[in-house]
Amino acid sequence: MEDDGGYGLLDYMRSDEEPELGRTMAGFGAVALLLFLVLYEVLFPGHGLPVISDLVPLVTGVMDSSIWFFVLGIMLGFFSLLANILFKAVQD
Amino acid sequence: MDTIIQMMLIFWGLLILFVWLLRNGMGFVGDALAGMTGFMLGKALGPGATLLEGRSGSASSSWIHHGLIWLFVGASITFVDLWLGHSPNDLYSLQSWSWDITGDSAFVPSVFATFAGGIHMMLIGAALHIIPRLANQSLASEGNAGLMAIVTSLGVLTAIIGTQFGNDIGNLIAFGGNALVAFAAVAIIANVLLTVREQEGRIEIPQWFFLFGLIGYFAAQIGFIVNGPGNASTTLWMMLLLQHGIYFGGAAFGLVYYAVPARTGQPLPSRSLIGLTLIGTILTVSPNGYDPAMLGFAEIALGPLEHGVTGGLSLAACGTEASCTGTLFLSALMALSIPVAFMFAGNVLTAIRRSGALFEDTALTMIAFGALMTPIFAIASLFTTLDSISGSGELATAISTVRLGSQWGAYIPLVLGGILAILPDITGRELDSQSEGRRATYFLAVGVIGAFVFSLAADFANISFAEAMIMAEAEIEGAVSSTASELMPIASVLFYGAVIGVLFITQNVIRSSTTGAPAGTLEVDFDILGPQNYVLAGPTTVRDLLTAGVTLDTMISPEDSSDNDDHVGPTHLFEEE
Repeated sequence: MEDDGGYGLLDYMRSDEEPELGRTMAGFGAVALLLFLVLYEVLFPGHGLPVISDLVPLVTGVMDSSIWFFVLGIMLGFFSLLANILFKAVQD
Repeated sequence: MDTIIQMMLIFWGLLILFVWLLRNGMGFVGDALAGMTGFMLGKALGPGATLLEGRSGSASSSWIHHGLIWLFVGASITFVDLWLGHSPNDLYSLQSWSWDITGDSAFVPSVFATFAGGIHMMLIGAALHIIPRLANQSLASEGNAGLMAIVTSLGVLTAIIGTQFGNDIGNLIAFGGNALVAFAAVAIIANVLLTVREQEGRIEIPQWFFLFGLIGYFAAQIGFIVNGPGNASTTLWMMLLLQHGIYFGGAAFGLVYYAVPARTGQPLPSRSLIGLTLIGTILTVSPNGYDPAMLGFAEIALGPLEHGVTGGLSLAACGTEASCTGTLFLSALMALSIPVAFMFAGNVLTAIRRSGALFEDTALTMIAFGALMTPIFAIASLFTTLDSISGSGELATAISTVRLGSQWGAYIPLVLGGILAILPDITGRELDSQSEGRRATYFLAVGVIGAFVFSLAADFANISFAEAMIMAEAEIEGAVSSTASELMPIASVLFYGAVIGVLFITQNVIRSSTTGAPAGTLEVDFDILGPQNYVLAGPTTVRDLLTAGVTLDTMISPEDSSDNDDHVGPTHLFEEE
């Protein structure tokens, strides 16, 4: 069998720009979640999701304005800043 | 004597006295004062003096990092304030935590976070680097200066918390927080003056800008107090205008005048224009920053002292409470500040254009944006402020928008850009990612200008609506134009771009302290004439290339070909022997 030193199939399959494992897992997770939701709707049409459907009414009336999406973004940004600072402090 | 003229004479007189004392000293009294101040900044603090390491540059870095985080907080609260402007009850659910954040309750905290936290702390951070550097001396007390950054941050936090109580106790707490900020500022002034005292050569112009800014801030306050509560309807606003012009404006000019040559390695085109900007900043009154809504901030900042300020007060109009001679004098000083803004912008923009770094270097792109906007917002502010002084009040609805635009569109980009330019020299690290920094700059620019344009359109719709109501002799309290109610949400959402821009820059700066390349190791990718490299995205004309600033020596390469050898190209499936 031909060695993989040339420009054969083995070289073609070898890549040096593999995506990060974390990103790959997140991608798989998102697709799996979507599939699960579709499957659940097909198997149990009209039924709410267990646990999650019970939690949603708790926040109804609290976060009923679109400003909360922006505020959540701000909070996410603030905590990412905090995480960066803490990481730096621990690293030092 | 007229109140306005008297206020200006006190302000100028105090600055002249300061210059005289700085040049001539105070003899043996000066030596005694310097020794005592040095003791107060160091050993008098007891264990506090040894709390921080006191490494060279640590204080400046600390102030700048605190300032960046406060600027992000300020941008976020300003966004919330803009949102509550059109939907005042959208955060009503927080009342279940006894936190009433409805209507305009986010305005005063936004001013504290943006000014006392963000801009002030970044400017002091810059002063603590630039003044000792140009004096060729180390800072008199690095440990004390670092400690004062913590005190200032605590003060701003206390002030913001105090404003949320909504009662007298809360106002007192907020005043205490503001007093902490002022106390730390006095310690910084003492520190800086002790450093300048050791300077052997003449004081450089960027140093003067900072010194006048720091002293002028308190000189304006002294002028307000000396004139008494009886004249507060005029002097309160003059105090705010002078503080805005000499400190937030003047110190920002000084920072940029230092940062641009330091970053590009090229001198600014005109030295005489730099000198004229300095003189003009002192002799004129900047119209930027005037907004009757700032009364809420002033009431807390001045605290429980008797100052004669009452609700609904704005700059006294000619012929009612102020004499027309005084208002004419003030109007002339405001108009004269416009050429100063143009002189500054022309000088800085020419320098950046010559460097070829526009749209390549984050700091210089940010400065260029701020410099371009400075004269534009100065003219816009002149219109709204003079409209108020004349008593016509036709543009009263647009004052807040113009004030917000001049802060976020002119001064903040100047300060932020200046900080980014000098930061590698302070921390020893380059910015972590220039491309991310440029993206953040575009977010900030588009967000601020977009928010300004839509908000201004909403204001003019409201002005037309109010006139139509007067014509129809109808009076509905709190009614707004339907066009305005559609435009205001767009303005607030666009301002979110500024929040994201500041967040990205802050993250970039924080990351740069660990992952940024060592300062000076990055090859500058631009020279005096134009960019060294230009990436071609597709077919283009020579005219477009020349417009983009390329020169005969610029290397033009197609997109993606500038990567290194690791780039994976088309796969060879077959090779002939």
